Amino acid sequence: MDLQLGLSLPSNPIKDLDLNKYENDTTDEATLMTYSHSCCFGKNKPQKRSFYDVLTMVNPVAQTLPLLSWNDKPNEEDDGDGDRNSLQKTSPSTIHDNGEGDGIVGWPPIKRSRRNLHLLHHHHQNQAGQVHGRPNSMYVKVKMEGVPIGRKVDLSLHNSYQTLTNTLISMFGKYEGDMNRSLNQGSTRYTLAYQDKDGDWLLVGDTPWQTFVSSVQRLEILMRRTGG
Amino acid sequence: MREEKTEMSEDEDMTVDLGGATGGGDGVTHEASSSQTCSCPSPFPDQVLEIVLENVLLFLTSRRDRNAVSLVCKSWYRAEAFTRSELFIGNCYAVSPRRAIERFRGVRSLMLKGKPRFADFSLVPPNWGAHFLPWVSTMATAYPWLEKVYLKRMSVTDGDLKLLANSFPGFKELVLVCCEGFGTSGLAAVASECSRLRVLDLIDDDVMDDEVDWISCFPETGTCLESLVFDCVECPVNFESLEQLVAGSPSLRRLKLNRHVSLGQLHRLMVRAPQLTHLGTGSFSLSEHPAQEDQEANLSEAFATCKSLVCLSGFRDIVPSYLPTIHPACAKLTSLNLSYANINAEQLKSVICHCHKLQTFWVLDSVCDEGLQAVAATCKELHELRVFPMDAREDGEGFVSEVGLLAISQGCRKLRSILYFCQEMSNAAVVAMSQNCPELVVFRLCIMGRHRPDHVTGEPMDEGFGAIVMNCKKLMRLAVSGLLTDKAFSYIGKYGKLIRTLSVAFAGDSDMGLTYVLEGCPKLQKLEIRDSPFGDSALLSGLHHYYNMRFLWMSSCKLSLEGCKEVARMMPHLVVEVIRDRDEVDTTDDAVEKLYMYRSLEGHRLDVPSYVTIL
Repeated sequence: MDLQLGLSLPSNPIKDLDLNKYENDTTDEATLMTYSHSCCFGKNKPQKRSFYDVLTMVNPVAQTLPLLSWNDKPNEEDDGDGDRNSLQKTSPSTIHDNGEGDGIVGWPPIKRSRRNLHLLHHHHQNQAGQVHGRPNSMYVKVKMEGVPIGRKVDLSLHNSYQTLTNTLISMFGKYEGDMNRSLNQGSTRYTLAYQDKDGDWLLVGDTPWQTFVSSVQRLEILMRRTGG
Repeated sequence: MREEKTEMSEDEDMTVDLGGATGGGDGVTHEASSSQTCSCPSPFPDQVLEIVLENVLLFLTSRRDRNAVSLVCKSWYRAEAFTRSELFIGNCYAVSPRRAIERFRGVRSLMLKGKPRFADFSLVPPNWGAHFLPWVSTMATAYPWLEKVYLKRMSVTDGDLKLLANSFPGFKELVLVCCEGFGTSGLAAVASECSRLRVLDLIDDDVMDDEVDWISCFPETGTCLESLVFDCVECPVNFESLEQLVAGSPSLRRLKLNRHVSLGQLHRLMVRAPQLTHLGTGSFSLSEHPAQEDQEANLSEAFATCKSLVCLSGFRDIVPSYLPTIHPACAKLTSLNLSYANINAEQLKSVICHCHKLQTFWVLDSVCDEGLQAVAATCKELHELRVFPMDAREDGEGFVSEVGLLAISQGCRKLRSILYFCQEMSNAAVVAMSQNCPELVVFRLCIMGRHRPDHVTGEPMDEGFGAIVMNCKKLMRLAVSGLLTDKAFSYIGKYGKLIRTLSVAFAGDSDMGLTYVLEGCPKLQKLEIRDSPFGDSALLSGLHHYYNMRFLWMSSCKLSLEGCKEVARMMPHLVVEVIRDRDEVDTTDDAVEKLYMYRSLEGHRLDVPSYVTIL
């Protein structure tokens, strides 16, 4: 079973969220992300979704719903067992653009290592001789709840939540089976959270990509404690 | 027939008993005149022929020729299978490992390609497939003498690399291109176990950081490494171990460092390895402790001392003022890759004016049209040019335009391959290139703005691409972009008789576009299409050709499940994969978002993830 990272939904969809708007929006076929046929929320569909469903970009000007900040700070140890229950109360995050204005996956056709060169480099015309020594990688630690070994992911190689979640799924997907066995349940749902510069833990996906990248300190993949 | 074979054998002056040459075929009798006291039975005449053929075939390396040989008759098929030492499999799902090892017994070199190319651009969800494990585990027992493995777009785990390292005692070359799924611990296994390793090339891979110091796992006493390429590895390496490794590898000719190697460290390595021919320069910037490392003057000297340098790359975080230090190497350079270097036209000019022998040049569009004009003025031997965008967004700032393309076409008449990213283009410049550069084999123009017309005339880009297929008679690979109507495809179908690979995005008006191509291009092998209005009837117009193709990819087109099922029904040896974005099977949704189909001897693969359905 594939690892699924999802954000929680309340049992009643938020009234403000007009699902029809996203579903039928075909004004510009080309702006429809490849990961989005229709809005993936509600409409009596089963709750199981993959993480990139949740972060699907349907329309670059889609509204985002506010997420509650998760104010409980976890323990500083890497295997922190902080109280995650407050996440149950958050409202759904919806689709948003990746903060860079383009809403198309894989276009232009540039490999990941070549993306974002304009962001990471600075024009040197007037800076001859100045030190520009720092490598441009942006490693942050990623920990999956219940897995003792953490990993690191280089955010400079990503330009959207989609590619980041793809990478995380490839990194951690293998642990999902073990987790299910140890917890004696058929499947586990996960949530992705990050700790920002102020030490607060927030759900990934709320802010535009660039904002996220400039403040993220570490990532954590948390198990959802589902009621049913 | 038998007489013929005998004659042939005699002509070949084989020291093999002909036994049974005069009739009978039991092969046990010996020639009375033979002075040999060979105790082994004489071969059958057929076997003699095969032995002769095998000896001849040892010299035949081209796989196309070998495929032709294998079709002559059964004994040629056997002989060819016995002697083929380099096995190339363009689609790892076209044939199973078991079938491969049953036919080819003496393979020493394996080349495997896996995922479709659009996986590089995040269009294929993770865990799609192309696992190396079934191959390496089958070959571990079948080909213990395996020496070389070349993988492209495969999913490789640390376990696979460990198995590889432990299974093949004579292993010499590992080349991984665009692969993922492994980390530094897998590399450590290869480094420590493969004592005969000559080549370890990691190109555009996604290597996980397991915090294992793999460079220090090479034997301390020295290696026979000839090539070590790890510029794509994003984790830092232990420099002391690296320096020791380079010092202990006297055969090293190709060294491509990652971005964690600073200028000062680069200098130290160059001093250790003046025999290098290919150098990837790492970050080409100062480390965080500049006081230890102001080596600028010495760096130039190091470039002068490395007299054999023909290929330079790297420059990942370049401090442009250091670029001129490569000057002593420029006159001999045949390949220069500045595609990660944010430099302007002036900075480029200071080095490019010396690079008269340059054949391959990759650059970032930060050098602007002016930089390209400088290239055109100097690099008369240029075969391959790639211009990458600094700002890879479709509404981003464009730094190069038709001016640069035109200049290149006028200056570099021997151009064979071009990849050019721009925001907008004109038909006139593309037509000019088609006329100025008749040697073009690869033409890939990426106008980043979708559906952008000729910005001078407002017309679609049909005429430009039409001229390319018409005038460039050797064209084998084409990628189109910009506003294109079905007319462009009619040109491609009419004139693109040698085209093997075609990439289409956001183009065309109707099914006719795709139909023109499928009906017109007899050599077409790889077709990848995204976001274009081609539907079922276009898909069905290619049935006559799909068995000749390696694959077809269509995403965000107008295909339906019914149409794809129809293809699957009519073509039993095609694997027709429908790739969804979600786990659930949405039975109400008849539209096919992603189609990937390919010929195969094996039928449905067994390792499909839940989001793939094979029709």
